[in-house]
Amino acid sequence: MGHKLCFNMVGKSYGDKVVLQEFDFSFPRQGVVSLLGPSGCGKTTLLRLAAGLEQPGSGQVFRKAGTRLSMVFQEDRLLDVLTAEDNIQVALGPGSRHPARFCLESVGLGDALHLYPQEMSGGMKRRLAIARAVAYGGDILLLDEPFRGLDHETKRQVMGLVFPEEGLADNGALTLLVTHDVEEALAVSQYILLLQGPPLRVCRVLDLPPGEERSQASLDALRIAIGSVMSGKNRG
Amino acid sequence: MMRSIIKSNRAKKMGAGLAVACFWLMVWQLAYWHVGKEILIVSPFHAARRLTELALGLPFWRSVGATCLRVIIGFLAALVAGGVLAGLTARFLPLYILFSPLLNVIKSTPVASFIILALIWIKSGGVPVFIAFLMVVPMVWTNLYAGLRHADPELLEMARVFQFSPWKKLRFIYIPALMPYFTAACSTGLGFAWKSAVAAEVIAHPENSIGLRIYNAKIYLETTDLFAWTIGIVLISVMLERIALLLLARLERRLLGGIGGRD
Repeated sequence: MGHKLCFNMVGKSYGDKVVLQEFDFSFPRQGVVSLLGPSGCGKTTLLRLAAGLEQPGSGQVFRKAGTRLSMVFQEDRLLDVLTAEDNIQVALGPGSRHPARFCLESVGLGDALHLYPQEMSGGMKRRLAIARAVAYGGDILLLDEPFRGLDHETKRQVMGLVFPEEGLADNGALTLLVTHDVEEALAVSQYILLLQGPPLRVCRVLDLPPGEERSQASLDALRIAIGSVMSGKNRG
Repeated sequence: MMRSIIKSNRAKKMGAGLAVACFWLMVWQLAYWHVGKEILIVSPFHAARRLTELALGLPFWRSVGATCLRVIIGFLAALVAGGVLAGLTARFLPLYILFSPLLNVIKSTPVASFIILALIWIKSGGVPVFIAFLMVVPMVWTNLYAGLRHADPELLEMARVFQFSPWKKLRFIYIPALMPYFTAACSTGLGFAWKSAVAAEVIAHPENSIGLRIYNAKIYLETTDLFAWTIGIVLISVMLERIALLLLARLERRLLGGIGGRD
């Protein structure tokens, strides 16, 4: 199988709540895939299953053997006992992509190397969590609403680190981005999955044209397509 | 600026502590005047004078040293056993179900019952060690078990994603979660080890022990000696607790600051 990540007829429930039912999808080998869908439709569960943090109730989540995985959680999940630099250093291993300092400087935390998380603002902690995931690197990068709470300028700066070359170069990695921001998804993705649920289902897969071929008209058409699915017109 | 604020706070604390000590010494002195019989209650000054006299002799230090050694051995053994038990019971639920009634029995049984039983089983010198151990194990277990159960599951998931080694997980997630519980266990456990070990010495009369000295003071109605030894026990217990907490703080700094933290 050529895919790095496949969901084969996956089912997942929490008590009586069925979040995934016979969910079947093969993600592309590489590129940025945005997952757009209403709150509570099962996007985070999908990411957690992909990360191996949850086990499917039925079916199978296939990850290619030896796949290295990195993640930005919805929460920052930083170690309070370590400085910003050490929070990254402690996660780094033999396969890590970037040095800690480089990543911290890239997200504008060059002056905060020796600060502890409790001495940082919410936005700084968010950037630190993102820098950790990028520094760790991997074949699959899972991003669960990573830019939530960041102001426009900071978000632009951080996106430059996560999606180099304006989102079109990905060093061969597959990136899954959970977001509610359509413009964010349009700016960085090669594919957008429009999701509904629960139980989670893929309503539509949008294959975005390469950056240089993206005209205002094509983007507007995509916005309309996303809007119609998200407002529920395409349900069923 | 910061240093002078810290200094003034420390001075204020010391002043308050001294005032409290003076208040209770005054209460003691008033009680002494009220009762008026040295055989029932001695003056704090007489007790202090007697303690100083005792402290100038070698037998005092021999007794203090031997008791301290027994308390420390019992306490350290309890730390190890309580730690292992907490680790196993937090990891394996059937072990928790198996061990928790036993530890609850130990917690609720009067210490005197154990001392007398231990006297039948082991030599008198070992009784205080065993009793200190037995009394402290449930305390350490309860605290460390709670600490282990309070390790942040979100951080554990993060560690799983970033493939932390077991040592990294222990050092940066479990130990910080455990530290407040461990410190509480050490602080109360050490005091408890003292009390129970001296009680065991009073009943078991091992040679060179504070308990034996207290027992003799009681037999010969040397109330001044009894008070002097009691003050001595309190002072040594407080000192040991301070030393233990200082060592713990140092250990924590060393364990957590090693990766290049600011400290």
